[in-house]
Amino acid sequence: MTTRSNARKKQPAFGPGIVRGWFDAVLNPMIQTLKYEQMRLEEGNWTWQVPPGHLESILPVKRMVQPLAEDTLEQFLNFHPDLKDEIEIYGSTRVQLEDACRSLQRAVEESGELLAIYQRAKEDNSITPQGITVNSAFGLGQKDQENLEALAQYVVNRSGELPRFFVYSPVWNKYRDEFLALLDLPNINQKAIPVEHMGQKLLKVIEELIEDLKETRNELSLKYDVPYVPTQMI
Amino acid sequence: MPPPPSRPPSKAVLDTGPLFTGLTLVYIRQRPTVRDYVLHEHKLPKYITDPTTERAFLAFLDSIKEVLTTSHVIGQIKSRRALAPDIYREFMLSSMDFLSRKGLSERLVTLLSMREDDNSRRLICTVGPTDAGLVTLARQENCLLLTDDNRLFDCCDNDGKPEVVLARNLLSPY
Repeated sequence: MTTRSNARKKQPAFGPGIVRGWFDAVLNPMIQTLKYEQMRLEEGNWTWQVPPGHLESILPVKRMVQPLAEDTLEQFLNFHPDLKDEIEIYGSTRVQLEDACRSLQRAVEESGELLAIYQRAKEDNSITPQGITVNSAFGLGQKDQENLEALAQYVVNRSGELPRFFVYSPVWNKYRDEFLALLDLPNINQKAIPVEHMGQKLLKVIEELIEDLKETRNELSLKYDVPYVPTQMI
Repeated sequence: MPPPPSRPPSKAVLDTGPLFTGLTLVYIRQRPTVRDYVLHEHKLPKYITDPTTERAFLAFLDSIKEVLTTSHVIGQIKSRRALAPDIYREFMLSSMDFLSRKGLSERLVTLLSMREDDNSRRLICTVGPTDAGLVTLARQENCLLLTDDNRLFDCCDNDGKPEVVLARNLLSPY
């Protein structure tokens, strides 16, 4: 005999409308953001940024969705506990990378070798290919500590040549090899290795997460006949 | 694809797309609480992928000492009124404040003045008067033109002037 409570249990817990909401508010924004993060990490750019001292474009999951959709994220994860676990791993790995970058930043910033290159660059009034002096980068009223912080940040991110319109481009682009060689100094290298390790680990976590989010989206899409993106938006 | 400009520009002509993107980014940095709402109404271009590209774009704008544009472009900015009135008011105040700091020079490039010049006349008939005005202004001022519009690449003279830069290329190394 079918009782009312049994009948209720047999009803689907959610339908196409809820799935549409999950796609729009949670899955699509998350997958898109994670793809950009994957791209950054593949380039070896941790997007470490000082101030304030965080991974600028490797975001906590809650920041991948709009504030109004935080409860939608929670609802989605309640129905998908495996993904909840993966997202927690993403979050903790991200924090570990951030901590490792902070530690490396401090080591680079406090190194006498960075200071020595900086002092030389400050005296360097040679003309760059852009027609400005190298040390003009320091002439915008910044304090020494701010300059050292910024240069250390580029070291942490192993930045390539900076676009010409970046304030520190004359200095960084000229002394880049010397700055990056700081990463080989023993006291700095021991802080750089965990950054590299956590960066690679996070990249793997992100790749798996993207894969699993896409698989879940595909299953939901086919089961509930909901397209990934509403056709009227295309 | 042409490379980004070889030196930070002292002045640049801005097309509607990059100007609107810049003004939007400046505003939402000042008012982060309305960020999601504003970005829902003012869609950012695809090349602004994450906070890092946002910052790089703003760094480029910061590096321009004098922003030039035409009255037609300012007219297009003013007419994009998708925001709620109070937010729109703040957005416009923030934009005017920013453009004042950047020494905005708003120029009127009239249809009939362009008609007098062979190149400009040709451009009017291909890309229309607004874009032709931007190219004409950049050529007159001998400065770069920043745009999101691929078609404007073909608008420079045989001597390569004006220098037309796609905003997305600026951010490609970053």
